[in-house]
Amino acid sequence: MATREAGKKMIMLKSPDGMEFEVEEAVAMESQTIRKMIEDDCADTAILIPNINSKILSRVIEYCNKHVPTTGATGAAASDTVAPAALAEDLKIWDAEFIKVNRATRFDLIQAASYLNIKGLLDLTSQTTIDTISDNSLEEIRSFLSTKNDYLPEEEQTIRRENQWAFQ
Amino acid sequence: MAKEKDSGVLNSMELVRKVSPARPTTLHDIPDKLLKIILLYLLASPHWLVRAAATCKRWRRIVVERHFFMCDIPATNPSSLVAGHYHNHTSPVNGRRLIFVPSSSALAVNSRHFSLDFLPGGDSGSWEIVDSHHTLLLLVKKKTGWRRCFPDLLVCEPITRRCQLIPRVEKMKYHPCIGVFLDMHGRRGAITWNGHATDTMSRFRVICVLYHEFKGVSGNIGTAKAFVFEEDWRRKRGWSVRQQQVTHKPQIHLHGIESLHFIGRATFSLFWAMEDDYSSLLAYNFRWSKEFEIVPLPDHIRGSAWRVIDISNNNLVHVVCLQGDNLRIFATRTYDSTDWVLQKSLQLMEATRGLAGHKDDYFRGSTKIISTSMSSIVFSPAKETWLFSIDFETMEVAKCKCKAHSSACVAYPCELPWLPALRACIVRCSRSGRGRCSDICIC
Repeated sequence: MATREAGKKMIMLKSPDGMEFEVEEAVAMESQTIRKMIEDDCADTAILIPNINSKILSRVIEYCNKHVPTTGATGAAASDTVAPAALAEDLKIWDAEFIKVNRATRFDLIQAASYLNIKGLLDLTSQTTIDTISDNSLEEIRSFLSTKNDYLPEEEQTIRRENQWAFQ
Repeated sequence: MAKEKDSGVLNSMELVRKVSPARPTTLHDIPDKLLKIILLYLLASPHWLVRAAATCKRWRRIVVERHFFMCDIPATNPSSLVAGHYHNHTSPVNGRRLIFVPSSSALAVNSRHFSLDFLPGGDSGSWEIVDSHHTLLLLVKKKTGWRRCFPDLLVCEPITRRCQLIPRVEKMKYHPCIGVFLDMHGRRGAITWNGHATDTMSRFRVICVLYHEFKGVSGNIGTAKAFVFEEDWRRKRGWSVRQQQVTHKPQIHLHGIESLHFIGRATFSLFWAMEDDYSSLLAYNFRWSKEFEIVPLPDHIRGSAWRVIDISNNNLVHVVCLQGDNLRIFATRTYDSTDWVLQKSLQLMEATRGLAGHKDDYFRGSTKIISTSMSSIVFSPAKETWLFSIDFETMEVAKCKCKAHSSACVAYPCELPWLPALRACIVRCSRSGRGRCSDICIC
């Protein structure tokens, strides 16, 4: 059952490897998927989050915890004392630190963000992936993202020939 | 923690364990639908899009998919596509040549891709740029007095090093040319019905405005006629010329080609000021009505110098009107309406006081408009070369760096292709993207 603690409604989130996380409802509702469940009254007992392991789920909750006051309750105590611009700047730095993870974790986070429908986290993880494309050569992109070059040399040549400017 | 009653949950846990193996997640585990969401961020730059498409077949397949570009995302900002500007440069040392100045923004495209050394004749010095649109340039062969007779025309795309000569039409050979202009079918980033990027070199048209002098009438009175060159898509690779003139309207009488001064284009229309009539403009809409019109301006819009400007992301017609040192910008939805609204106004002498080299004397005489762009306008006192620019958005005044010949300040923007062609098929594809045409086809 959902519990009440100091006037805040709590929600239990369960990962498939058996870990349970108790979070504030407002934090959980950063995820549009969970928000739908709560609004449709399907969330009386603990919510099982399939295919997101506890390691990733804890990171996702960490992200939601950080992002809840700015997008959630407006005029909360926190945003009264700090200027919104400074708060946004602070969040940006925090995000940059948060996303410093290895490649596999980042892909896990993308999948989790997509499943739980957390737009901010999906933006952050996708943008980080795309940034590797903008700064590196083709060979580096392939090795960073561990994709294989399955083009025939002639095929790759065709794309390159028509768009030489994009390859220096 | 997990209790016995949660056996259903345990079962589903088992299921999940089975499908997700205990190895690190890679890009291969990301389903296409999700990868597409990630790749949508590539739409911020044509540069990234090309590189992503060249990475592997799967990525290319996703980014060339028909629905990829139709997603509800903010369109790429056109000004971020401008790779640089071309200038017709004249210097006593090097003679006439075309120069390319890259944009300051870090687009990371090497300037050598904008070299014009592929033009016929090998010498870019024999051509003069007269217009640019998206990735294309329109050039005329420099002959003394080319405006007197129909010029040699060429359209080229520097970034793909392709060019197309516009065939001369014999019957127009001796008509003086008022101006030539470049236009593109469809909007930027348009895709064909089967979702492929359309080839810019086959969807441009050249609008050629000629002066037709009446025979047997004194004082070189005549009228304007427009001809349009475009590729005839029914006969592949053929070129056709159409005369655009609706004859049921009374013809417009003009007093010689010298009396017309081109002042700009906006919302698919071209505008000229007429020396013998300061209260109206000559307008030609090349997209819709395809007619020349004399547009009377309201009494409060009077000035010694005019420009019509096309401000990016804005569907209004703006008229810049300069009287003495008083600059005013008016806007209207359609040019034939009488509803002109004053948007901005500025006293140039006061506004430029803080700039280096400013002299009040400069503004005693008249002030010229040197050039205009989508975002700013460059002025100079008529008798001096002291250039300064004004930004439309902020109305901020800045000293212009370019101090060479004033014609060098006329900049022709050149953009990166949007959308770029992402073909990888090595065979000549007979189904043109509508599915595979052979085993090795990857269209």
